[in-house]
This record gives sequence, structure tokens and C-alpha cells, in this order.
Amino acid sequence: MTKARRIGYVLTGLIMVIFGTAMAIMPSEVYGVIILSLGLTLMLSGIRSLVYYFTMAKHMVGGLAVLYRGVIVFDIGLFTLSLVDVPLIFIMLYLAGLHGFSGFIDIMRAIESKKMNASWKLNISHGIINVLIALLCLVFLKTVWVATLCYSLGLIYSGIIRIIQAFRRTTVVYIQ
Amino acid sequence: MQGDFHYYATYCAAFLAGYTHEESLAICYSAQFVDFCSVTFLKKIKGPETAATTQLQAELMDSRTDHVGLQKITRTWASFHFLPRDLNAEVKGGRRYQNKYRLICGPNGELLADTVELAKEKGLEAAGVAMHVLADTWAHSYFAGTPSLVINNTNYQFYEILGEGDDAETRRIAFRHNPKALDDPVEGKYTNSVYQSSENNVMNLGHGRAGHLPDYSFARYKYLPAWADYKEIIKDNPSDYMHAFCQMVYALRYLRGDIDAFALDTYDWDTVAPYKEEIKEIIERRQLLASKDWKALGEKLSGCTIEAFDIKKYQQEYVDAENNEKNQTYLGRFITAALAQKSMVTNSMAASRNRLAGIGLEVRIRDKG
Repeated sequence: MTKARRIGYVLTGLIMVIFGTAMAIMPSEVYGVIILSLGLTLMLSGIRSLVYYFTMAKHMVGGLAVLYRGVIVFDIGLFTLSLVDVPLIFIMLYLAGLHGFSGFIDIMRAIESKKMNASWKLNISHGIINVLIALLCLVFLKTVWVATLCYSLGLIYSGIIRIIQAFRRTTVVYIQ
Repeated sequence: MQGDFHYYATYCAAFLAGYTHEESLAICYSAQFVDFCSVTFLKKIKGPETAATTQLQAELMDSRTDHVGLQKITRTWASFHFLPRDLNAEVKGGRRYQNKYRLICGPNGELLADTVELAKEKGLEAAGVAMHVLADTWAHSYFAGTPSLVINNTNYQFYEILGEGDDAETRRIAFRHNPKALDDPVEGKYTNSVYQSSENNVMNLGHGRAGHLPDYSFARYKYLPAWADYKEIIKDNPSDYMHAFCQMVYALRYLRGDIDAFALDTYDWDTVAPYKEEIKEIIERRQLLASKDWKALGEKLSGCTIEAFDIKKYQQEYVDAENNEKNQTYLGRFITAALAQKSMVTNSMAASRNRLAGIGLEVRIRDKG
């Protein structure tokens, strides 16, 4: 990994941790911030698709679909930002889906590791925690503070992982 | 390719190349073990995780496709299962596209010569690793060992070719996505991975979008690959598998010392000639796994029983060995060969200014003597 990329990882990680912590401390502001984040995420995703089309996918058979997707997602992002109010239920379902899927993958991974007598306990605990968070979101579908907590913790966790990644050893040793 | 070719056919090739029954078994075990040496397995035997030659499905689902995660995936799959044919291939498009395009696998590339030469005088385990890589260059042609939609995607223009010559017919393949459903070559029903629009999604790794068709020796098919500018490709597996077998015999004769230099695009047709029809019949039989047929041929050649592949065969020997003796065990030698292969491919890619597998650091180990 190049130094510039490592610095980029650390900076984005720090921003995510600070943002997540601020959201956990000031929950009253969070609802609007989540909507803003969703809108911006969609817009950025649209822009990424457009960049991807012009740099790579235009060479691909059927690559035009990527162009159409980019335009449509960008447009939906703009539309989301223009909304005054997004029902909380959608945010909670989004969070539940995210954690539920991660939990399912972790549990599957743990089962496969256990079959091969390899270490599996860490994966199973990650999986169970994720599934519990997903259930928490579904049970408290209409509670703002649960959404806030899940979103903030998720952001802080991702930020920390990103910072750790920046310091990972990525060089391969060539034996002669 | 599957166990039928990597284990039993490799045994046949090794025996025809002049190795003994025991040596041929050691070579084909190593060739097959490439498909089993995952991080999970290495953790279990407390071996170096960097020596992994494959990733389990769950490991892949679990792996992050960030910059570092992609490099890890590419190092493993490009080094052992999708050896790039031409790291300097020219193509229209930006650097990012070019780097992915250059990882397209194919036979008789310079890296194949490097792979076989790297295994010279490194033992039977290294020979087995090289044979796995060689065989896969034929089976996995036209796909890349890195997650990439723009390279590995396929679309609905996918036809199986039934019969040969003027009698050949085409049958459109409508892929299914149920991983538990067995492929049905009689009805022409095959399973492939689901379309994922993200360039780096792990579902876009290798030949997932073509299902297991590249792994079936009988399959002939034509399709529109994502990267070929709307030019159709005809994949003739029976011909490719025969070439792979004859090239393995040739390469193993080189590794054994019968031939001075390894040349690309060279096949030992003469040694294989007495068994050509029998091998052709095995390769063209429409079955999902040809292990039984290859095993019968191998046992006919050597007159010895070929034991079934057992992942645990050398495990205890490695676990029980003292730390300073692990490298002298079968798995220790396999791990050394795997690390050398992975590092060679990573370094070759980095030398061509392609960082998709990361950067290699060269370390020379001096003999104490």
C-alpha cells in the first residue's frame, strides 16, 4: 500500500470516528444527519458509477447499463436530499438488513471454520452480535435512539477498522 | 479444473513422464492440495497464512474488497488458478482497465515458463504446484483471477456446442443461481454466480459467471466475454484438456531432468500417443467428474492402486514436527513452494507496474553451510 493511500485511510477513519462519536453525543441532531448521509451516499454512488463507466465499463459488453444506473442513482440521491422527512421505519429496516446480513455471513463462516476444526469463536460472537443488533432494530422499529445508537456504533467501528487497515503489513516476502 | 484432472490425470501424466508410483502420488497430491490449502486450514495446522493457495467460499464471502483485501484475493487466485497470460498486453482504455485486462488467464504465457522453471529441483511438491497452475491456464482461459465485472462478466449470449464438425448443434444455456442445484449436462442446466454490478464484488472473481463449464472437460461452448469488444469466443475444452495433459507430461519430463530447457507451446504427443484414444474418450464423456475413469487409467498404467485424496494425509506429520523441522515435512515443502510461486507472480505483476496483487519484498535466504 502506498503512503498516500495509508494517510487517506487514517484520515477517513478519523473522520468516521469523530462523526460517529458526535452523533452518539448529540442524538437530537442525528435524524437529519442520517437523511443527509443517505442522500449524499446515493449521490456519491451515482457519481462513482459514472466515473466507473467512463474509465472502465464503457469497454465492457453491456456496459451502458452502468451509465444508466449512475444517472438514475444520482437523481434519486438529489431527490432524497430534497425530502423534508423520511419515515424512520426505512432507516431502521436499512440498518436491520445491514446487520442481519453481516451476522449471517459471520455465522456461516464460523460454521465452516468449526467443521475444519479451525478457530470459530470470534466469528460466531461477531455474527451473534450483528444478528442481535438487527433484531434490536426490528423490535424498536419506531424508536429514534436505537437508530442513532446503531448508526453511530457502526460508523465508529468502520472508522477504527479503516485506521487499523492503514497500518496493515501488505508487503509479500519473496523467497529465493 | 477439479479433482479428476488435478489428482488422477496428474498422476497419469507424472507416471507417463517417468516418475515412480510413489513419486507420482506425491506430485498429484500436491497438485490437488492447491485447491484445499486455505487460510482456515493453515490456521488449523498453525502454518503461515500467507501461503494460502485458495480461499474457501466462506472466506471469500467474508473478505473485504478494499484495496488490501483485493490484493490478497488477487495474489491467491492469479498465482495458482488464473495465471496471467500477458502482463504487458496492450488494450484501449485507462491504466485501471489495462491492469485488470492484463490479468486475463491463458496458456503459454511467460509466467508459465517462470512457474515451471521455479519448480525445477525444488522437489515433488513444487512440481505438483506447478502442474496445478499449468493445467488451470487451459481450463480457466479468458477469465482473470481478480474480482472484475469488466473482465469476468458474461451475458445471455451463452451457447453450448453439442457434437462436432458439420453435425454440431448449439443450445442456449439459461444459467440458474441455486448453488445447491447440481449441474445437469443432459438437460443443459448449469449454475452460475449472480450478476453483481459492483466491479470488485467477489462474485465477479474468475469464471463464476460461466459457472463450472470451464471445469468440465467435455464442454464446448461459445459466449461473449465482457472484455473482447463484442467478439465471440469458442471454448473447446476437450482440445484444451488434451493440450494441458500433454504439456504436463512434457513439463514433468523437464522437471525430472529428461529435457534441458522448458519451451512454451510444446507438448509430449509421442509419449501420450498410445493412450490418446482412451484419454480422448475420458475427456469427452459427458459427466460432471471423471475421477473414476482417470483413476482406472492411472492404475492400468502403473499397476498400483491409487489411493483417494485425503486432506489429512500429511497434516499430523507437520503438526508434530519441531519448528526447525517443519520445512522438511511434506506440507512444509508444499508451503515453501506455494510461497515462492505466489511471490514470483506478485513480483512479476509489480515489475509490470501492476499493483493489483501488491508489492513483493525480495529476501534471499543463504544456506548456513
